[in-house]
Amino acid sequence: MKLELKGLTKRFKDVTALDNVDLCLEKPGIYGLLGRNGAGKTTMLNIITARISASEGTVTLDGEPVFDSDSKLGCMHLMSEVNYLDTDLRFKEAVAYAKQSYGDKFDSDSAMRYAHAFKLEGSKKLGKLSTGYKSIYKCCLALAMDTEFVFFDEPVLGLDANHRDLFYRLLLDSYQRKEKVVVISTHLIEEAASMLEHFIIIASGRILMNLDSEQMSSYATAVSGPRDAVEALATRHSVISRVSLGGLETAYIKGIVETDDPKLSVCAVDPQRLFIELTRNEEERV
Amino acid sequence: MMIAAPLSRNIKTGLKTAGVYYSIIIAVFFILPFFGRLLPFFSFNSNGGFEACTMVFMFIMGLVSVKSNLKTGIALSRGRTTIVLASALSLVAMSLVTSVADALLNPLAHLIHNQIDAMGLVFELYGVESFWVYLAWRFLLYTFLSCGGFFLASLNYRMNKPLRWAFWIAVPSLLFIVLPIVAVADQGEFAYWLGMAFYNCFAKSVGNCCISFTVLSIAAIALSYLILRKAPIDRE
Repeated sequence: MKLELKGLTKRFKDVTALDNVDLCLEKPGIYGLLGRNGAGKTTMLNIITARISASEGTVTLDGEPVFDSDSKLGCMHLMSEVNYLDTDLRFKEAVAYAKQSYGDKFDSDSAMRYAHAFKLEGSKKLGKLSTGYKSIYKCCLALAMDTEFVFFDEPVLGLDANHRDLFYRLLLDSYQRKEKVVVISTHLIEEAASMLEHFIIIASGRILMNLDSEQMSSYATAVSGPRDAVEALATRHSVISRVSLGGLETAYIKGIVETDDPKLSVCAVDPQRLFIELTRNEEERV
Repeated sequence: MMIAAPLSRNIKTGLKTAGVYYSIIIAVFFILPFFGRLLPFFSFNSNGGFEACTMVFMFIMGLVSVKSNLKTGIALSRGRTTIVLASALSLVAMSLVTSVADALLNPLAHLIHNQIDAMGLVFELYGVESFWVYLAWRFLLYTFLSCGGFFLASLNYRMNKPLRWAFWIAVPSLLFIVLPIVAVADQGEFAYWLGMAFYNCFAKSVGNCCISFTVLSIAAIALSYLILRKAPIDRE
């Protein structure tokens, strides 16, 4: 199935949250949707899953509009930060509802298994849970989805380190159960990076880059050393950003860079560092 | 359209709420009066039926359906058309359930409280004593009230704060300031026309009233659909 976003724009009064976004999701895999606060990640996910409408542009699944189509919307699920389910809904009731709504595209046994792994009681009402367990409640439902597209918006919000680790392992389990397009919007890039196969970086409502993990790892090189030596090398390349400390400097340079200069150290840039350097404001360059 | 899941979910929720409501009704109308008879110092008198209570209950059910059904429906990947239709059908189903429950409870209440008429309001208004007419009229009345509540809540959901204020000021102003002024200005002509329209629609005969309730219920749901078909569902 091919999910296509064409010219997607969303304006909230005088703020443009999404600006002419084009994106195509087709190949099964785990995608990371990365962006700073207010970059437009949640807005994009909300438009894809018809929670809000776009000001301009279209969202289509296999060429047909998604908005208000039960069959198309039934191919996707969004686990969002906001609680949409009734707060007095017990987890086992939510599982029954999800099964009723998604049919074969929801695995009730897996949902209960995931809940058990997180020590989430089936009789607990959503509204009575702590912030972390509210996320777990929604995560367990989303992880049990076998829909073609599953979107997670800040899935590990409020989760402790152990629960976050468990979530990532269960996500892989869910993906192995059925291959699908999984999109995770998260700020915890370092934690999620190892499992991400594609990186979509969004900034100021625009897609800044859309790369697979291989392209991502060769996208930039960090060159560190005495300022003069770094500057000499940097002049011959396209520099993303520079960070100085005393007489030392690190330049983040596009592409793979090699040098024989013994004063310089060269290493690949990890996704989190690259994200930071790509999306850093002028005011933050101190 | 995949309506079965949201419809059964809405009806299940509605039945739960109705269960709580009827527990209270039975306690108030059937159990407390016995205490009144057994214990002279504990007196309980009721001089009204519970139709009015169910009318309020159904109106509130319509009011509270909008937000909850929209959020749950969209969270479980349903389109707005399906959500609105499932809401409307579940309100109709709940109206049927409550009208049947009231039709069965009313004669029982009559045995305890002489003040309550076995045939309820429909006899008082139209003098009709047919059980089936009584059931149909009550069912359509409850459907109309719940759909009306749904429409008002839809309107409220879509309006922003200034518009909401304007609306809730404009409605009473129209009823209590504009209409009396118009009535004085045109020497009651408009008021008479309005009264006659109301009489013809609701009071002339039980048939007219049933048709009016049906038409207004359909109109309320159709308008709600138009209001909600692009409504954002991103609020907690």
